[in-house]
Amino acid sequence: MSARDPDALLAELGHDLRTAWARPRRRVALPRRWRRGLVLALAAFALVPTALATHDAIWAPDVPPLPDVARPPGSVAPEQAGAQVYVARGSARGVRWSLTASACNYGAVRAVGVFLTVPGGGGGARCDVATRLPGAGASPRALARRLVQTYFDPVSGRTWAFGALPAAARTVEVSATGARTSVAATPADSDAVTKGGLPPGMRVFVAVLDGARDMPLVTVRDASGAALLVCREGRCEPPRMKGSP
Amino acid sequence: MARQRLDAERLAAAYQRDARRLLIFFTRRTYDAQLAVDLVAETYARAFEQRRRFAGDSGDADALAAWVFGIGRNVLHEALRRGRAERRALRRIGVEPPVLAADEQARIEELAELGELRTAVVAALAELGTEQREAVRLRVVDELAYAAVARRLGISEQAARARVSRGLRALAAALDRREPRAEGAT
Repeated sequence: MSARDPDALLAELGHDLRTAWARPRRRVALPRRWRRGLVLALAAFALVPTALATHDAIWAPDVPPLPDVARPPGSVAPEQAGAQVYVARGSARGVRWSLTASACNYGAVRAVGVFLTVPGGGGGARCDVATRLPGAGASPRALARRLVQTYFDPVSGRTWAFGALPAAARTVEVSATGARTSVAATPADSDAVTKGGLPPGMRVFVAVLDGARDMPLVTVRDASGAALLVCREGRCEPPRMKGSP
Repeated sequence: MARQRLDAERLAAAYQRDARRLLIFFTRRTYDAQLAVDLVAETYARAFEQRRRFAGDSGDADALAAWVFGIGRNVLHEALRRGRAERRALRRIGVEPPVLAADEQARIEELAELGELRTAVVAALAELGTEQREAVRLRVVDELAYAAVARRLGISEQAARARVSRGLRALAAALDRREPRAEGAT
């Protein structure tokens, strides 16, 4: 057993800090032959922050773990979950945004969770909340179809629609009642895709609509202009052909 | 009147005033007493290194606390991102934070009322009532749109929004009631 309470611990730490702060800084005179080495070392150190910046540019803050009490009944953990990575950054109507993604593998099914961050907030979905409970709407396959998210940003008064799309996607039409816009599906950062274990060739899109809008209809088209996916309430499916059930 | 510069002596006085609140602040956010002690140490080490950047009056205790807590939030953000404290500034000044024994960790957790915090969240969840709790679960855990939550619960979308909003407010209030006035003004 130890006799230290929190105040005693803080007093101990405070004493060490004060001692260190009071210590005068030493100036070391370097021999001439060491100076060249020092210049080289400084040059190397100058490169290190660049490497760190690159590191920070790829790895995004991990999504906090979800408490068990908040998980749905019958929840199933992914067999493999990739790290959260920055897949795209940009600016729309003067608002800077960044998009992060992570992949969860449930056997042969891979779901991708996407988060959008804008000044003062953000939103999105995690990919590790699957449940096998029938009718819960969050089976691994259902999560894998959830490619589009929306977020109402109270700061800018706009609704953001964003998502992760397959490699064949080229354009995205976003329409809600009284509002419509079309944006390009751009390739996600290839380094981030590799490091995050995301689907190869993954593309992303970020679109903005004025005002508060609930889950717009999103149509994803390929290079030929043909509809690749139709997404309602964020769930995406290939378009139904005429005559199909 | 000329502003007073922040020197080691004034920072030491600020440590004496604010370190306990910062320790509680970190413990409640990391649920890890050892990590919280490391973060307190790294925060003040960085504050010392960056003391010339402090633009306020070092005689203003509130302004100084707000500045130190601002550094603390950055240190916490980095620690959460990396899963550990960085200790870069601490290493530069040659200080090792105290290593805690199990009972010392328990005392810090007690100071931060972690047990009560957990109980408060569980109690607040239990107090929500089945319908409100289910609405919060569908929206927050299953991430369904409000329209889908409404359909699942057989209520209007507006009622679903209100139900989720009230549920989240109740949970937030339960946590706020236990939050010390520790963060200072920012």
